[in-house]
Amino acid sequence: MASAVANSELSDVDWLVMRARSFPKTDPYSAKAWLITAKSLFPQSFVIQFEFYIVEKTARNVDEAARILQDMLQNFPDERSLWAEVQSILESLQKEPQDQKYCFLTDLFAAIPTATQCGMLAQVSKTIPDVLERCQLLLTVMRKFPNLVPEHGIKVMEMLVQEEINSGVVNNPVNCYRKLLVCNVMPLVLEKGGHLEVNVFQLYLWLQRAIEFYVSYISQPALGVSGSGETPASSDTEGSRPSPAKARGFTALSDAEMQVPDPWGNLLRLLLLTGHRLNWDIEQNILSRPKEYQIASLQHQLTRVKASNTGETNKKQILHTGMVLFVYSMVHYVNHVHVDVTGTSTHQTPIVLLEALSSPYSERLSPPKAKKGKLEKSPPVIVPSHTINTSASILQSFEMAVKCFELLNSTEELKYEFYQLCQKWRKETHTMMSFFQADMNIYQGNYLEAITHLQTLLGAANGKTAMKLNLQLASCHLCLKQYSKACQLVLEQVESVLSQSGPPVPLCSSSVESSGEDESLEGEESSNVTPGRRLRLMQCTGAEVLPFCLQFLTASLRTKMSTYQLTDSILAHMIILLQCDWPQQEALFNEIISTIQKQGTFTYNAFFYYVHQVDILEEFAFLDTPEGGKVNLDIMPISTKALAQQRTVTRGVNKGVKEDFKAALEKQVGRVPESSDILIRRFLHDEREELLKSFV
Amino acid sequence: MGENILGRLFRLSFPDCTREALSFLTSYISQDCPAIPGLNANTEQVIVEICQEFVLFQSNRGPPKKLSSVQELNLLDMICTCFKEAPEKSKYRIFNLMFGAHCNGSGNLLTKLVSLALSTRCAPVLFCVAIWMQERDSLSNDVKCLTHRLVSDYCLLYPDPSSVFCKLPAVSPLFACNFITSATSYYSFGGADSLPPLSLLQHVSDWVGQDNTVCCESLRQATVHHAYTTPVPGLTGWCVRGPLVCSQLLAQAKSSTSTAGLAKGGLDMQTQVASLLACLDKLHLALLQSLVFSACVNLSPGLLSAGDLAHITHTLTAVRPLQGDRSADSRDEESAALGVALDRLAQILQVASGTRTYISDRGKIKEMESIARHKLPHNRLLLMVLKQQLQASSSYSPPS
Repeated sequence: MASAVANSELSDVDWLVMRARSFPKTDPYSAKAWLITAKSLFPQSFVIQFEFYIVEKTARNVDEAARILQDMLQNFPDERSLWAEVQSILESLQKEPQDQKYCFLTDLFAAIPTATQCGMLAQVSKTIPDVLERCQLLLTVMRKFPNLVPEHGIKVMEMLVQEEINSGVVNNPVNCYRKLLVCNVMPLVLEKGGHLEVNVFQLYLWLQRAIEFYVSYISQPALGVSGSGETPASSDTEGSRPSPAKARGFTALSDAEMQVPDPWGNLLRLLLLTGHRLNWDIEQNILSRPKEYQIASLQHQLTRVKASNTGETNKKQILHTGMVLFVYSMVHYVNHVHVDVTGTSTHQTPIVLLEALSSPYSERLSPPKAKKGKLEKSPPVIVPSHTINTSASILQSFEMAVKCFELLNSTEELKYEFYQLCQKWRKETHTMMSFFQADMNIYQGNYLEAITHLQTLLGAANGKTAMKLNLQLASCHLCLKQYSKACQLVLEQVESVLSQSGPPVPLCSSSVESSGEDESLEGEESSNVTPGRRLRLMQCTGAEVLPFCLQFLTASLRTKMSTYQLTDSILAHMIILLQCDWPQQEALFNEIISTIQKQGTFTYNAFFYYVHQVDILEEFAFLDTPEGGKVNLDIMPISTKALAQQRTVTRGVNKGVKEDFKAALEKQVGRVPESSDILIRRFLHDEREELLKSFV
Repeated sequence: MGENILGRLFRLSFPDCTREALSFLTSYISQDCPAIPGLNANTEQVIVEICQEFVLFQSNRGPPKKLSSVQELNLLDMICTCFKEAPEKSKYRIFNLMFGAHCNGSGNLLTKLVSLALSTRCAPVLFCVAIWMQERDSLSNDVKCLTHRLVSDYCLLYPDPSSVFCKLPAVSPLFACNFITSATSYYSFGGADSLPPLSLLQHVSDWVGQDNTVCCESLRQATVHHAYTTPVPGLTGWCVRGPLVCSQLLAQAKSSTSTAGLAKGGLDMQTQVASLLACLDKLHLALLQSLVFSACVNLSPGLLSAGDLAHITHTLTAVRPLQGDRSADSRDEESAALGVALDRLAQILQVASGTRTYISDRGKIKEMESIARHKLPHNRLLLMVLKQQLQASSSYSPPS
């Protein structure tokens, strides 16, 4: 009875809905019959139609439900619960597709005509105050329903561009708006957008934003220096958020959402998609090809376009293709040579590019400017150390980066635009670029410019990175004939290697190193066919650095030969250093001996402290003989002159001096040979000042 | 020539004579019945004679020729082929020539022809039969006879649903439509003696449910064939009276089982009634959907009229039994069933009134309102609908 009273109090509409609801789920027919009647009685009642929709939805009648939904959207556009339903449908599109309920809602949305879908989306997205969430919703729906891309794609892109500016994070390209724009929306729009109402300028602008994003993404600190392919370690943004507004731009997406699995692949894809839009001469199916193929193809295309260099579009194409290839190869190169861009120390060993040291019979140290004309014809050869197993790809990246850089600087116009683009890079990217430019300048023989870059970089460098830069700096100074500065730097490096804790680093080339040396010698021999400058690429380990330093010092000292600055100490220092890896530089030794013979005199009192090599000792014994030129040798620890004076006083004879010398020689030969390693170590430590004096 | 053709046909034996006869009839009717030279006024008579002698084998001249079963099948096949091949405009005229006159004996042949046409899906024959049913009126004996034969052949003979019948609306929607009309008048669902067989009800509810256009087929033909009936009033009768009749049957079954102890028979009845009711639920929705559909198409009025509904309202009062010695349980059940009946009546009235195919009549509505108020239990929906009908019709001020 109570229910009867309650029923009679209900309005007709509510009573009809109540009746329709009163039927069990097992009887869908009666409920529907009631609703058809109710709809006929009250065609303007939203409640009835909505109930009807719910019944069809519960019965999973996709087409019926979609039809009613569409009717309601047309006839009751202001009903809140209707929009709540639409919103839940759109939200379900963002969910995982496993759930049956979401599947049904997706099908339901699919059954609605495109125009209505667009209306639903536009209306619901309007109600989402947060632009990012709004864009995410539109993005998800567009992904599932590409037919909506032409209507909404450009709008979403513009929204994201605007919001990035509004939120003030535009200076850091790795922000959530840019990420959505570049990684998600842009590829979708370029691929599925149909005819786009945008001009060429706009397309290039988007491409530039993409380049900015990816370049910064690759070089961001959290990523380390590991380079492409790897995902950055989750950064601890929780602890240190700068300011709410700024943090918003970076943390609105979760770390996982901010990650890009294959950044370079994506960037190339965008470049190619843009190229397709601009009718560049690209293969149709290039997007399905591997990255390496795409790069090679773009390189060829760049060469072709450059050859037919005409028109504004060509310039833009050269600029952007060149830019992408440049950043790709530059970042690869810099990452491969393990430069510590971020200032946090890494365990990886940097790889250093240096001017190769002259071999005794060539004139490698002659100023490169003299050979400039020749250089332009044949680029210098880079000889990598055998311990670098990725050398092929390093060299490939380096050469491509250099070519692209030269291309981008080939005209004033390109240069201007290129630097405009670089302006927006983050600090780390500029540092990377600086590392690359230092290497490129060394490669091109522009030592002064290289020094400028190196000195800037040294300000923030430490550890092995500092060593790498110092070695390069020394190499540049050597090429500029600033020997004193060069050797000072090299000695500092030697000092720092030797002072390192841990197992002592072999100073002279061990068997492994010597085989490497052989290799490089081989390389040098084979490259005799193509004469030209030579550079070497080696790892910044003590084992590779120390032998190089010794060679470096020897080479520097050798420059004093046949100059008026040549002193006996310089000759002696060379002899001492030659003991390392004896008899590799026997030729130089012979040259020194003949110089001594010509002088007829040689004074170096520390001789027996540092010379142990039997061959060398024998040679000196020979110098003392009439056949050897009867050179007046003053190499005893106590000067023979002083000794002679002493003896004159005491015995009046000078005879014993000779015997002392011979005895000393014999004694030296008979001694258990100290390893040349320890010996030279001692020498470099004790005689550092003396060595440096050679270059004053 | 007329004599010539008769003479020639008489000289031929079956089946050649029939093939020749059918071919002659087709071409004659297709040429708009030209005068046959030498026959003058008797042309029509000759044609009828040819049909009687060589197609229907009801000779006026001698004893009727008796065909064997195989020969009869051959004959039916030839007739089917004839209808398939005849020009569109001539088909029904040929059919009318054969079966248009009073059946007297040809009814049996017609039933066999329909059976063959159903199993071979011969749409032209079924179409002609459907028109014939329409023009005859579904209540005529010939049509009733045919309907009864089809129901017993396809619904009662085998318990499993007939695949031929299942696909009937697809083969000939008009035939299905007129068959429903005829079936609803043959089995009016007015009491235990006029219950439609369950399988018939299942077929009908499936047809109407699967194809909302089936009920409108005869109305579609209204512009061509003026005589037509529609299945909607009959189906409304089923849907509305059905629950009430069923509840009474159940009550009777219960009282008989409790007294006579025939538990098994009672249970059979219960399950059958439950199936009938479930079928009616489905059919009712299908009917409403068909009405909604008819609102979307441009059809002339006539699918359902206020008069039909008023008539059904009257029958409801008649169906109500006035036995006094019933349990409270069965009284409750019966009043619930009456509630369902009235709800359905109201629903059909409401939905039909929204379509142009409905023929309204203020007088009939008033009549219904009076019955609803005074002779039937209170039903909110029916009163709501009737009130709205009266308001609407008064605001339109119909021509007196």
